[in-house]
Amino acid sequence: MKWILLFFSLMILNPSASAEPEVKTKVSKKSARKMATRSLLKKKYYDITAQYIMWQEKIDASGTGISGTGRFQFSGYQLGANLNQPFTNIRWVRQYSAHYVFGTVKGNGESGSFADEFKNQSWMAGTLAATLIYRTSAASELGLSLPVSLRAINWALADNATIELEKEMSFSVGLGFQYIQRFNTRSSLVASLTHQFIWDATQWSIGYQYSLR
Amino acid sequence: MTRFCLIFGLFTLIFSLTETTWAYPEFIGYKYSSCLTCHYNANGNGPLNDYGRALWSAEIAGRLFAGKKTDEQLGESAGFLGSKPLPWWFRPGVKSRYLQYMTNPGGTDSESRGILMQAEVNAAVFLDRDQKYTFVGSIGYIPEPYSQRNSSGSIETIISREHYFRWQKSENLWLYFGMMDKPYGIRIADHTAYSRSMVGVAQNDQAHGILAHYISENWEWSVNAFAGNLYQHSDLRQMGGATLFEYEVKPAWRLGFSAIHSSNDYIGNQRFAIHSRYGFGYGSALLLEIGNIKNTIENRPTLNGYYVYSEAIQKIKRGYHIFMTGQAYKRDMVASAGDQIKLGTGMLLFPMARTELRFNLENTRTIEAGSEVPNDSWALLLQAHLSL
Repeated sequence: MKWILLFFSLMILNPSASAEPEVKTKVSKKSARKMATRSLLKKKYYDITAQYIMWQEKIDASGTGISGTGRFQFSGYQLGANLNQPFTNIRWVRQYSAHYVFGTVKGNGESGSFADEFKNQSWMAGTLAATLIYRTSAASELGLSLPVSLRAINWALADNATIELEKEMSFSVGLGFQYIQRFNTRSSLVASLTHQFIWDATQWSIGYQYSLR
Repeated sequence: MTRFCLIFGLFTLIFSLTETTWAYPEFIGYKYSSCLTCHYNANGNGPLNDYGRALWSAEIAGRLFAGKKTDEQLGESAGFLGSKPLPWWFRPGVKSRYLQYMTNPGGTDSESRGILMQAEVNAAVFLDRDQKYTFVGSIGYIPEPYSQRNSSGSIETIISREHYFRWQKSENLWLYFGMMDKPYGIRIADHTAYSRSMVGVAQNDQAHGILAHYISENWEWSVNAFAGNLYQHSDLRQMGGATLFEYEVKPAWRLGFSAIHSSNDYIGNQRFAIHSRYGFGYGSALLLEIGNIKNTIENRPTLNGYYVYSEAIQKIKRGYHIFMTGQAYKRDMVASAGDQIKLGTGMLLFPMARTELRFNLENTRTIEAGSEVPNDSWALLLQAHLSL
């Protein structure tokens, strides 16, 4: 009897001698990790982004003896901030973004009456977007976004120019696809493809995203 | 059946104990970084070996029409005749690729055409049970080049893209003799990518030669001496050498460099590239290759250009992936030569074993140094690949 008592006393004093507490420890560590990850993925967080953006667009021109369309290449940088709010199902996230976009545009007329050339014309834009993001894994995400953009082009023409170019101030709504590849919980590569319906232009962008968690 | 069980058992054992390998460079995202385990060719491409077939069926491909079959059963039935065993010395295969290509989709000038890009039979014949001495060959149809569709001359459309004898000299060293792909850069499937088409390592650029491939725990090195494609006229054959080195910095991250130096009677080709393949999580990867292309043409100025290939791919669910690509190419590094940019996005799908579907939307743009803005071009590519 005393041996049995001694055995149980040892069991109580030395939890590692019992298989049950060990299993419990393992399970609790695993669930702790899971809970930590889940808790991180459930939380609302912010991103700041810096992207390079480019697209091609047609712009009409008119003036004395001039009428036609030109092809223009836009390129620039997009700086922005995102607010990310995961849904109860943490696979899904809703994102609200604001971006300041700026750059230069160059182009030329397509027709004989509009054969002018343009270089280093500056532009700037503001974009607000709502995006639905699906987490394909902890390291990768895909998004579908609805951006609304307001843009101003500063056409710096020669003093004696009689030409007038459209879209000096214009807005557009778009539909975008977003691709996010996470290097870790904070740093990501982000690339997107957006079609702007009113501008009839398809924008490509690529950049870096830093998450403030 | 016993042989298949043994192979599958070996596959399961290796898979459960070690980091295995995969031939699609994108699948470094699955922690498979080398090509040798799944392909007979150490640098990828060409027929899959038994291991590659089993892995494709049991892990990578989706489970469309798989019913209640377990992954093990799918792996076991991945052979040419399903689960029916073949003689130990013979492994046949059939490959076919069909491309539906549409330029400027939705535009008034949109054109569409279909191309049967590949329809071939291949076989591996083993001279011993350890597969130390192996012959691999393929023969099949290639489409007539679109640019020569109206030419009066006859064009050979039945060719052998590869036929070589492989000798495993030691545990680490493999020697190849015959016609095969040159080892260079990241061997992606898209042969229209600048990193393949502009470099001279596209779908029909194989050469006869000798290749040595050394594989170590953390690095692989291939050296290839080639005498050109012996089916071409002797003055057109590009003769020279190629090399490809990859170092595994950490699991699922490889850095490499590669080079080709070759010439024929008219043109000398020098190419050099560095590349990186990085896998994330499970099924995601980033590929990057930057290279220099130098063409020395008789009685003409030397062209010294560059190219970039980049790709990000992620798994949506088993067998289904989405990717984005960014490419750049400049024929000559002078202001008068424009930069060509090709951006794309698409899906790479393996809905079930033996089947691959690829959808790709590509936008090509030229950026001139001056104010000239050439028209953008768009292309939609739908590709179906059947591999039996």
